[in-house]
Amino acid sequence: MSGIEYGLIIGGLMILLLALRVHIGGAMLIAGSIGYYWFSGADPVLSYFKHAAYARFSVYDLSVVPLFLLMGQFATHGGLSKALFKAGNAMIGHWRGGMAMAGVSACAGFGAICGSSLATAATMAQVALPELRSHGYSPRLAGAALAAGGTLGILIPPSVPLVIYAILTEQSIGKLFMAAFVPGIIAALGYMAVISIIARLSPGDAPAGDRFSWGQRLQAIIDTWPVILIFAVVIIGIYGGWFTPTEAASVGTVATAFVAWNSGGLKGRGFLECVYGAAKATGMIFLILLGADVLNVFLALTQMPAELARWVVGLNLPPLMIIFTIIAIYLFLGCIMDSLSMLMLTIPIFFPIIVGTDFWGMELEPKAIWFGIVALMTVEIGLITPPVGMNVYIISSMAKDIPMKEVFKGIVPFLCSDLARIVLLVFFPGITLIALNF
Amino acid sequence: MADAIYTETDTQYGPIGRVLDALSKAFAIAAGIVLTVLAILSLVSIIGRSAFAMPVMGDYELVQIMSAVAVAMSLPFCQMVRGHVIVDFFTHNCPPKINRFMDLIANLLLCLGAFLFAWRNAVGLMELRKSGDASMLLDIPTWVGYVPFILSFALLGCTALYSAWEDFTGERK
Amino acid sequence: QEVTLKVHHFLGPQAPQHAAVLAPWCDKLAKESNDKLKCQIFPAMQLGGTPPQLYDQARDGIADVILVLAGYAANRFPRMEVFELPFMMTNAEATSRAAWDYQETLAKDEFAETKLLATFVHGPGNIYTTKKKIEKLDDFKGLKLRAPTRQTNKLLAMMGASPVGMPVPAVPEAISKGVIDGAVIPYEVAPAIKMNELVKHTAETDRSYNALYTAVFLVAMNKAKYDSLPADLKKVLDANSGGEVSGMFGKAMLAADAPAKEKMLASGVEINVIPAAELDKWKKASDALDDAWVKDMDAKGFDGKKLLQSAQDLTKKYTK
Ligand code: NA
Ligand code: NA
Repeated sequence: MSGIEYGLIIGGLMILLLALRVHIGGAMLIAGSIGYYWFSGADPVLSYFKHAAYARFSVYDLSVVPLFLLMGQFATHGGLSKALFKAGNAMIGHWRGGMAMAGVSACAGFGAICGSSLATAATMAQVALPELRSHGYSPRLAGAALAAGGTLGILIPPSVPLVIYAILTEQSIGKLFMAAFVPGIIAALGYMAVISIIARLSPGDAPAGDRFSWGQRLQAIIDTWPVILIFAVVIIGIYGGWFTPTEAASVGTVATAFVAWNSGGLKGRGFLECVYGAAKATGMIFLILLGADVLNVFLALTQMPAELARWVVGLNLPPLMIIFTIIAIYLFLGCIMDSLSMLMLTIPIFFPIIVGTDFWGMELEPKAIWFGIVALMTVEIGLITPPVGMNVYIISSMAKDIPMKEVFKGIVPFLCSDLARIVLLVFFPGITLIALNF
Repeated sequence: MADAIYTETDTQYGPIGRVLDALSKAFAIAAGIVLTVLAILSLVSIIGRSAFAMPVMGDYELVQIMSAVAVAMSLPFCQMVRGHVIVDFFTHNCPPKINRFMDLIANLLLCLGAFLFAWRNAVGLMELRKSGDASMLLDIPTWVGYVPFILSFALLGCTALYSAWEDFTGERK
Repeated sequence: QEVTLKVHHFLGPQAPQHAAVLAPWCDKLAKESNDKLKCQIFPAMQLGGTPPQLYDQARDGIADVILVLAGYAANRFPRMEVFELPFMMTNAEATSRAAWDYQETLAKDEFAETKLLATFVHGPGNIYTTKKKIEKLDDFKGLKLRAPTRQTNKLLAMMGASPVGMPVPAVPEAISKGVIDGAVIPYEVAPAIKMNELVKHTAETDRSYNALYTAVFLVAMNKAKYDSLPADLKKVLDANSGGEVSGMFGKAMLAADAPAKEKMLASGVEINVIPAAELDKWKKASDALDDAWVKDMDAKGFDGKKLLQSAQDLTKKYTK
């Protein structure tokens, strides 16, 4: 039997388990273990289990994941989201649709210190949604803008999925973070453009807000200094080579903890909620990582990814066909799966194909980084596509009077801007790679 | 990514549930403390090496061990609050009873897997003790890190079993 | 009967340990067995686990054959560590042969859990620095250098440098931004981590003098797998393991140094050779490391002095 056949059978088993509501990590673990047992017998599997968990959880570079998650918790409890929204509102709130744009820009700012989209959406919704509603914004636009803006939590570095991608493909975390920066800004600008267009086409959805004096604006900007400082330390520290990503995340965690403590956010149950939130997210991500590890060992044994890559490369398809097929698969999976599970499941299979295909004559490293950013952008769309769009769930769970259907309807123009951006990034890898030249 | 959102809810647990809830929370707090210590250690190491040309000896190993322990100790709490993600797309129109039955099976499978890992880790620990495996610079015995792993996987197994019990009785959701 | 061995290691497929040691060895097995004994090489920990766990993977049968750096599983092979002491190695081929004989006669029980196939060392370690040219012992003072093993960390500290522990992939960035002033590795891996672009100076020790340091690699096989082989394949494997083969592997590692050194020179890195007279001083500064190791062995119930002496004698014996 060929590796591809083994892979197909076990892949089918895994999809069945997923459909039967087995935890995503558990489904990978079970399917992978059965495949491993089938391929090698019981003894190697049982021996492998002795050290698999410790081996996976003690990877040095992965230690940034729980740290970024804890950092995001501290940032959420530190009230930094409020300062960011205020600053954005002071600057552009008086434009037509400006307050919603301020919400998006605040999401981008919060994304710079938080590695998670959901936390970004939830925090900004708390701060901005009531303001938007009281200024007469339609629920549809307000909810959609913040749901889309929430994805900036991951598109703007630091970003947990990028860490996972870096480890799976043996690329530099620092370089991937740098590369994500410009596309992340483009994403934010794209969302703002969408809001501006909607405001023009249907003014009733997005009225203008109050105008602020330059003194007020300056003060509001100054109030965001902790965010700017923490972002600068973390990103410049990693990219400048001053710290490893783990050290940078450590600095960021201590700094955000200090800010949260200083603003009273850790009082009472505050600290415990931070710790519980981080533990919940850490447990969820690492159970998937453990499952993916078992599955990947099985796949390596069968040589299925390499066989598949050889087969696809042998088809001599045009490279654009390959990359757009992968994007289409991600968009489809994104409708029903979450972004991290998708990356962990597919990167071991897609990456060898990308490596074997020529895109615009790129060398291996730039190609790996470019593909990483394109994949990240694509899987993150899953957060706002129906039927399972976690960011939309969050928004409608926080504003019970906004029906989920309304938010999904409002999301459509934002989705268009996402797709346009992906096409742009595919055809102009320079946009992604520009930051690496500094 | 169903992460990062946690607000205290007043879930009513039975006596066993209360014990498991308290234990998994204690593990989560321990994980948070280990992570905080790790962050501070890294900070000290950066300051030491840039300001005094004196990095913390073996900081790399310490980070590996501490983050591994923190991750393992997060697992039970995640299960206790049902934080592990599932794909419920195919089944969200099924009657709740059928979904509960499928969740029961899923949680039993997780329970089985967790106890399997606890057992295999224990075997691994015994072998590591015998072979004397240790970290490169600080000579920290490798088996030390396996102790919290065994406890965490065992507790994860118990919480998954409890979730299965909840699904069976229909006490939750 | 056809057998395919799962060969697992921690390095990339371009590393000489893969391309110049394991791959040719596998080809030889296939040729001499008329394609009945083949390998599938899994580089970069594809079969899971961490590098320190490789040896146990061979013991447990997760992989059939593994290649690992003995120093990774610290404390597992304490007697074998003797070859990591400073100024032990003469040349990689001779020292690899000596390492094999040493374990056969004095440390065999350290490897009782597997079928050991070969032991070999890499070429002499050099010192790569960005700004400061290393010419004498004093030049080490205050330099932040990244070192690969426990013994080299201690060695650098004794010579006045401050050793910095960090993962290998972090080295290029750390050097380019001045977080560390340099690193200590053999030539063969230097271009792979872009040393040719990042440093200005390489201090090479006089090759007639013993090397500054080296590290020991092990090639080990699962026992049950070996026992399960039919007699003809066992014979092929026996012919391709042991002292001779260890020496050959060491020679391949040394040979990989030459093109890498060429690359360094082509990129304009200045290579200066530390003369024997200066190395005498370095050796003196680090002699305490030998004593500490001897004492450590004594405490473990071995005759440390005899072990050290035997390692030195064996190395001398194979050095022409
Ligand atoms: Na982010
Ligand atoms: Na979706």
